[in-house]
Amino acid sequence: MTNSVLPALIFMIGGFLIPFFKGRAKSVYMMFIPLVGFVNLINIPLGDHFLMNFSDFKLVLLHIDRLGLLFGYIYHIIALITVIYILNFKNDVEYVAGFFYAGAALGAVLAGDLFSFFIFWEMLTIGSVMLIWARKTKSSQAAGLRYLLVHAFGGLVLLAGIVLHYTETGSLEMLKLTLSGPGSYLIFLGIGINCAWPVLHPWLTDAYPEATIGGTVFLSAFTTKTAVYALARLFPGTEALIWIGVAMAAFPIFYAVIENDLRRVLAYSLINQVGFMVVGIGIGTELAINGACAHAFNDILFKGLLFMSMGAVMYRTGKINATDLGGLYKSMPWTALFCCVGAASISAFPLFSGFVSKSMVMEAAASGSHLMGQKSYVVVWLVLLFASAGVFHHAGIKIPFFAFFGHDAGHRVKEAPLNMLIAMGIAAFLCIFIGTYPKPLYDLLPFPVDYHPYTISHVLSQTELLFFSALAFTLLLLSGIYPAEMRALNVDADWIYRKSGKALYHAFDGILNPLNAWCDRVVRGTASRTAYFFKDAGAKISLFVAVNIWLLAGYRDQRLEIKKKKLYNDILHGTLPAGIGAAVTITFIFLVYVLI
Amino acid sequence: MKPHKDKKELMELKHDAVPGYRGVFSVVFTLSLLYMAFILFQPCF
Amino acid sequence: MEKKHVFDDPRNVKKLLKIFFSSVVILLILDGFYIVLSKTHVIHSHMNYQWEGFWGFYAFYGFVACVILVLVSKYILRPLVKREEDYYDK
Repeated sequence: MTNSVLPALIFMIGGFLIPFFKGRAKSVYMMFIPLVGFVNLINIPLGDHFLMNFSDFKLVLLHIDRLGLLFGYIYHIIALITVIYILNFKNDVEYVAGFFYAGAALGAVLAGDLFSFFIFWEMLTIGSVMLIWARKTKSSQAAGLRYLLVHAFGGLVLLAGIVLHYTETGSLEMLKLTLSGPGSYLIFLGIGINCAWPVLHPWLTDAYPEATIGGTVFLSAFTTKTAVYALARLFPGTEALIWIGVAMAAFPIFYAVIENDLRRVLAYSLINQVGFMVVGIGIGTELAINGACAHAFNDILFKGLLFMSMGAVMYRTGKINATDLGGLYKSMPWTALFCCVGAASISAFPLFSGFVSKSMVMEAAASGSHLMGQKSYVVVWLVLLFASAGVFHHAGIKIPFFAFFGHDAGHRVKEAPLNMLIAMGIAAFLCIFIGTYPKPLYDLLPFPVDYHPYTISHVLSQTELLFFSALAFTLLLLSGIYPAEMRALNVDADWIYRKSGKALYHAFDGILNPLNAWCDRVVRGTASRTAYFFKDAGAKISLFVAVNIWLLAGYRDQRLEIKKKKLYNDILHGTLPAGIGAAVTITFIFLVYVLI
Repeated sequence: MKPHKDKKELMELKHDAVPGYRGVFSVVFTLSLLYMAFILFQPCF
Repeated sequence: MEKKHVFDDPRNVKKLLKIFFSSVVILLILDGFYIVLSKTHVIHSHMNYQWEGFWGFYAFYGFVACVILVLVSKYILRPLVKREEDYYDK
């Protein structure tokens, strides 16, 4: 046992104490929490801590290894940055929920067994939904409720998976699982819901743009990255993940091009970036896992930075739709600059952070395709390259261009508040620092790194890719082909549970009710016919046998009719003398025997 | 992309064509598409 | 009188476009040099696929990919998924 504290508790308890501070002390205290947490974290030695025996289960509340630590570090960094960013909001609900949420994420990535992991996983949902509800608009209430329902369902799936897994294997350890048996599949699916896999993803694009300005920054960092961590821990090298990740990287960029709400554009590009990580985990080589983790680390920073810059725009102008924005570089030059840094990082420009991590996944996919039986990785590589070009197109150009340049919407506002600028500045600095000097990040990765991003061919090819996707944007825009920004709603997979309620009702009404009636008729008809047949089946069979015997015995006409009627009634009413019953049975058996 | 000062919320933000660019775009795109198709038809290894 | 900003002057926009178009051309020329140098083994080139050895592979791939992305989004995806803003509230 060490004399350290559980990292999650520092955030959670520290967060609950925030409302007791006032004024400047509150600001200082809030920045203090992540710093204390960080000092605490780096002083915990590797290994298992906080062991608890809970009836038969051995719970490990804290397990420190390289993979968990990497996520632990970045969670502390982004928590500090986000706290600085939201200092001017004076909203205690947002503060407490934010810290609770960050603490839950920390707890999950540092949990040593599946059960503790699940507990923190559920807290993650609670913290995040509070951040959505803290916006206090009607649409955020509704979106928060949908978010809660989806995640409650996801949590149940995960719990069911863990229970089944425990009954199958008797182990709760956070070790690599193979997809076999219902337990592992349910765990896989439960994590997949939080990871925003295609079709399971709309909770993200639905709810993130509805959260508070600071809440979205928090949200962009923790839920999906914790899911990425869980996949890297439990399912590295699972081939299904490659194809899931390819789909994630590809489809959101199409939506992002036609989306008007700029924070929703970022939400789509968040799925796109997580797709790269999921592909890396699916490939499962050391280079690929390293790439996925490094990209998660960088994505938290640059996606946070982009959400912060859009949040600052929203804070000053009250608008977030591309149709209402433009020309803001005049009044918010610093925010514009930081946004461009974030945009360059997510697009993986040389010297910016995305460049040193995304290419690891690309390289892993490309070198994997040379192995036997993995020729399909060529397709993976081509789609990822397509997605890399596309991400520059929608996140790298569209976001800064429509917010800060392009058509001037005429907003003449003040520059973002100082604390927001400082927060964005720190994130921007880290993006450039990691991009130019990746060694400290590489040293933190789970496996030893033997990868050099800055080769002539890599720099040249990436610059070509990006400049020509910018050329595509420029030419499309100048030739008037680029799709107009429209105030509209784009239907996504959430249609299934948001609109299909009515459609489902009609479907049931139109299809199931007639089907039901038909089944009813069929069943009743069959049943009554069967009943009618079996009502006197025994009597008829006996009669058939008996009549043949009587005919042999010489009974005819009137006497035969009387005998038949008597036998029929006797059998039907069960008043047959035992002797005759036995005789009929034996005859029947004999008859069967002869016939066979 | 002329700046104008109305603060009314737009329903649609169209991008007006600059004369001459559509031709440039068509030529560049057609040629690149053909070249790309040619490259991708080559064996990849 | 409001302060004039950089891109309020169309000449500056034109200048920026000129710089951009020239840098695109320069990149293609550089790529040509790079291919010659790597073929003569002055520079070691690390290639996973033959495709990468073609002049301007990444450039044209990026361009074509983005145009297709936009065209598909505009002419296929948008007509399929676009609804009124209050679609879900109705």
